[in-house]
Amino acid sequence: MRLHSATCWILACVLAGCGFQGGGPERRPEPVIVFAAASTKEAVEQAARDFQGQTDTPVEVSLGPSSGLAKQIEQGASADLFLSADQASADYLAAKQLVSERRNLLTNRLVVVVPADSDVGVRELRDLADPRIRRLALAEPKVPAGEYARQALRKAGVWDKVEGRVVGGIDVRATLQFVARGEAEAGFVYRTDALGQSKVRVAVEVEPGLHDPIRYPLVLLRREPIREAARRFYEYLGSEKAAGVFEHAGFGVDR
Amino acid sequence: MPLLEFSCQLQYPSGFRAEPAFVTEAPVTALFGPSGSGKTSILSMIAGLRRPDAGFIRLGARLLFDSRTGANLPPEKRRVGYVFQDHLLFPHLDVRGNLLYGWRRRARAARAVDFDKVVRVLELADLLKRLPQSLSGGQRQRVALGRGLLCGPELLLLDEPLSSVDDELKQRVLDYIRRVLEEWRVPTLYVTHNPAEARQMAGWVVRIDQGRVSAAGRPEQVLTEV
Amino acid sequence: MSESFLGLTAEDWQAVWLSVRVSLAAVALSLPFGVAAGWVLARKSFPGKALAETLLNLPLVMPPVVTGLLLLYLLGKRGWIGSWLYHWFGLEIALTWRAAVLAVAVMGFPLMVRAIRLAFEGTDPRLYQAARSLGARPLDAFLTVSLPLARNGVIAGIVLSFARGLGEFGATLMFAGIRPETRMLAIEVYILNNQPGAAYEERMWRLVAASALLAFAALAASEHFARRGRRHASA
Repeated sequence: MRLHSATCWILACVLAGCGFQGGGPERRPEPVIVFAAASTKEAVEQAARDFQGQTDTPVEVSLGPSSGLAKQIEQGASADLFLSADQASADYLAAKQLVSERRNLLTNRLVVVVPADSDVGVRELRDLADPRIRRLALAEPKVPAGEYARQALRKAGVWDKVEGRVVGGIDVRATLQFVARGEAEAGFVYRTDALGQSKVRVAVEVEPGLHDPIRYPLVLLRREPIREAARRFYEYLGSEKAAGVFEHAGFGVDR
Repeated sequence: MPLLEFSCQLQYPSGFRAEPAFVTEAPVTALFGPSGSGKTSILSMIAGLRRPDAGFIRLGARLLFDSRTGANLPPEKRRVGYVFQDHLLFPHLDVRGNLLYGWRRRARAARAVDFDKVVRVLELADLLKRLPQSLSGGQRQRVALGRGLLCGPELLLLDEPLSSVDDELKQRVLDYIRRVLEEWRVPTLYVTHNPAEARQMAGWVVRIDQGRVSAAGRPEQVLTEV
Repeated sequence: MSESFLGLTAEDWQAVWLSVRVSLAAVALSLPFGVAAGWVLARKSFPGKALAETLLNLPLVMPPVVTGLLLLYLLGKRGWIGSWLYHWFGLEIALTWRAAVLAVAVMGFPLMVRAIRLAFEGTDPRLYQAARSLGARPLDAFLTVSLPLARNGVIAGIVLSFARGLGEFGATLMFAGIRPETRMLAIEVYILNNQPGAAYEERMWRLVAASALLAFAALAASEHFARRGRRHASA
């Protein structure tokens, strides 16, 4: 009985394998591969779907911290486009001769979020020194959201007071989740992240002068050759239609 | 008062049902019978390592087990010195450690058996630092005997003490056992399938067949028809 | 930065040392439970044993990130048990070093129990009975006979779960977050790999070498004890 069922399994697997290969290579265009900052997730995915519906060219979106994505690209990841949440990551790739073209696409605002039911009463950055803020979620250093947040905290003169309570997220969305789950009493994310998460509310809109301007460069990466579809999506992301998607998600569009 | 009263029922997983019952007053009693007749189970039940389904066990004035009252002394409180057929010496302890295992766990005042004397009588002085794995069958038997004795038992259980000893040494081991029994006079239950051994060692023989006592009496009465 | 030992800087050694410390604490925490569970599984049969075994081995096959998430939902400040601990004892677990220790302990537990259980299964239960009959109470007999006989397996279990702990990443990241006291080797390597720049790269490779070295040493030790255990059992 056992042997019998084992045989059936093997047979089923073999047949499935045949079916898998027997279908033959469908002629599908190769996807455009986009590496995008975690904060742009929903908007870029929406733009990719729109583009795919219009042109039948599939788009694959890979998300993560911009700094980490830059490292992956440097290490040979086969990306066509890179949408970074800071200039530094794009500059890094430019220094490695990996950038073909770039343009500033989006702007964003840094905010302090607290759990939706928080009663700590955070109104400005100085309030983060309140002992009831036991943990402060920041993205890791080098991750853009983490860098902006550290700049702002230093400039506001509260870094020394909160440094010991920092818990790091590997990207801005992981950071957001710490606050959403109530494990951290406050955290720094982008305004756009806060809009999509009902379990947090924005407590402070951080004064933009406290950190480097938050500008998202879109990079057409140097690949040999640069594929036509990749360039078309690069252009598409700069179009008015895509701008509508980004603005709907709360981004500013760098026109 | 009899030395040992035993009357228990035990159902084996195989369906075999044992119902041995006997009383003895002799200093040395042989449990005699073919292998598989349930002799070792009787020792296990007396030592508290196996729980009978029903019945009672009384050692002197102490009730070790009684299924009606629920009395069931744990093994460590029964004060029986069980010398296993395969010795079960502790492999991680040397001979001294094995000998003293039970002795150390007796209250100081209750340590009736003298360590040095056991070592002398059983001629273990040269073996004290050895590990059990390095001993011969006869040597192991002597250590096991000494260990059982040193825990200060009110009853010594010897399970086929000659089974793992070479033929030419059997008489020597018997002599050791006899010397121990003469020296310390511990009441003993001696399990064997060999009529000659039973005749030589015991003053009372309980014959076990298929889990039941088929005869009991003086050796010359019980062992004649063998 | 200039002072270095084996090519690792003081800062690198700190990451190594932190990993070792967290792993050691996790082993110390889980050892009593591991010994108990290994013994019960080796010696006892009870209804639901198969289910208990499956649950026990779950962290071995479940994605570590999922394990970490479950821990967070159980022991987070707003988790089922965590909220209670926080409310009554002010005890915070999630996002602290305690969380790192706990995550590492949970992930290494199946390995520890497996080795200990095998060791108990390899020893004769009648030796424990012999000890009882000689006057030892249950715990006494266990500590002086059963446990010493299984000691090589216990040591192998300790080393194995310790080594597993050194490499813990997913569960710790979810449950403990990234904090100075949770930046163990694997997490440090991951973070460094996310940070563009040659200095980060160099440091990352030094830590990669350090983890490989540590893992190698731990495995060699575990093999050593496992072999000794087999020799001991066959003697």
